[in-house]
Amino acid sequence: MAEMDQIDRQFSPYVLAIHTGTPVLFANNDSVAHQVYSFSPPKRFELALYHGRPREPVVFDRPGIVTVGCNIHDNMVGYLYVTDAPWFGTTGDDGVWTGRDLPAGEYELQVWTPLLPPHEWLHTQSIALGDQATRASFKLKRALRPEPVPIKDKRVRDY
Amino acid sequence: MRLSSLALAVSMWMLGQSALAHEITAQIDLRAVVVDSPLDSFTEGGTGQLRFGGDDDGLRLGAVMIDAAGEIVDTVRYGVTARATGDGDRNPIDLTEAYLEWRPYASSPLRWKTRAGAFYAPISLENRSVGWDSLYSISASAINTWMGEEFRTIGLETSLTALGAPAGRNFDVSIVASAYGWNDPAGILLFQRGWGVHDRQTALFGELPRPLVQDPNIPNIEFFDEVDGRYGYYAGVETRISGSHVLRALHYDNRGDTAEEDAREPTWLTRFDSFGARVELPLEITAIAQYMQGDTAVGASADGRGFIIVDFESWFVLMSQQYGRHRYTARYDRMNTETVRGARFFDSHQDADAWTVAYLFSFDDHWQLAAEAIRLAGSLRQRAEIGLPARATERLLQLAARYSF
Repeated sequence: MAEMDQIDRQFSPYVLAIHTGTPVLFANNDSVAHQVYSFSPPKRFELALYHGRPREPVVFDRPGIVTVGCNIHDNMVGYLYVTDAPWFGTTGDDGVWTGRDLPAGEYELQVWTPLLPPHEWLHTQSIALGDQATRASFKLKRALRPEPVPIKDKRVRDY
Repeated sequence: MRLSSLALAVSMWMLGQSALAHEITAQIDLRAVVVDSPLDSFTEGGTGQLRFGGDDDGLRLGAVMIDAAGEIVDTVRYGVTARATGDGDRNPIDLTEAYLEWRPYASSPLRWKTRAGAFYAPISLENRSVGWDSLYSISASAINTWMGEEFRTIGLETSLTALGAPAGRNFDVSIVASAYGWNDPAGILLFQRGWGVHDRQTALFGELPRPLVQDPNIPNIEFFDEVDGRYGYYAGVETRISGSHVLRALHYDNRGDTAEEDAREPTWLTRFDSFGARVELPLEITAIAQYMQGDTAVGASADGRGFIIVDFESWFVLMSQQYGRHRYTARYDRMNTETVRGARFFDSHQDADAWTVAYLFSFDDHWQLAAEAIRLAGSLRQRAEIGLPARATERLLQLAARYSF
């Protein structure tokens, strides 16, 4: 089971990468209630207003990109990257992801980010792995947009 | 299941529901006020444009505010705010907003929101706190002060937002439209007193003393009244970029019938265009600018445009920085009104500006201390009607201690 939290009226992490079929718990850590929903084709769902942990996780049983929002707080946005790939993950703040114990062979490597215009979301390259550690890098044409910021000030009410 | 355990289960469920769906905030705001002004405040029937006037030094009540918000059913929220301002209004505590909001779940990148009741039009970019208080200072800009004084949407508003995130855009675009009533007197205070700078919100059943009393039988202005039986409207557009930068434009027209004069307040025909931008900069600096331009008219005329017509215009620029628990804000307001028809009967003319600096310290989630200094200077020709010099400079220093829970 994976978790996507809601902290300071924002989803955390902003992007959660999961394997197809993974249940995800949308835990609410805020003092205000949230109402998480998605109308993305791979998974449409609505979680009625709740505090704390929801009763049930949401199972993402089809690969694709799922955009999630909160019906009350329009500023909140998060993404689930649901994939059939056997190896996947999200990069750290340094932009690096490390895959371990991959057998030698030919691979297709894809990166995806919602912080670029949509036609630049997906980048693909082929890579051959031998016995040694191998590096691959993607050079983006432009800087990433900033991630949506949380609203820390509890006095703010204009949603 | 025995009945008692069923009742227990039901009450537990109710308790769970109520804990889940309702947020109640109460706030008390106490002020220490030092004023340097030759004028009485408009709250006492003067022509002063700040909330406190010449004789108001001392401890004052800023406001007692009670706000409740929550869900009635899954997609229907309510919001109710009541305030007491302690300055002799008709009701010691009165509602400032009360509405229902329906937010159906979006099933496509288009989402609807509909509000019904009494609420603020989406104009202010400052009044973002619970109870429609400014987030950045004690007193709102002249434009948003006026919104708090003479405007409330009492009717229906609906908005349609094209959500950007599912399509990979980092901005949402919304259109909003409203039809409302009970706003026929809107314009009278601006006409008589000009623009003001303060934090007092007129309650739905609230009154203010008239700055220039013509009929001693009706010394107070009653704000939210339907006189001519015509509904007004507004329509606007908003863009929200990266969830934080906001651009807004809105056209407002109360469609007042200026021929309707046989009421406690005659009908004012008030129309304006409003523009605003709020930008979040690095170092937690926020910049806000708003501009408003329009006219208000009263009295029967052959062309239906009004016997007296007053043009009005105001803008402000605000810069604010959040630094940990501290917030520093500076704002400059420009305020103008000019009578373009009927000036020989009543010359409403203001030419003024205001500087506001504020410091807010949020001690914790409950306590906030705020200090604010305002200097509002300029002329108001209406003062000549009551034998005062048109030019005046008002200075106010106020310290607020706010406790909320």
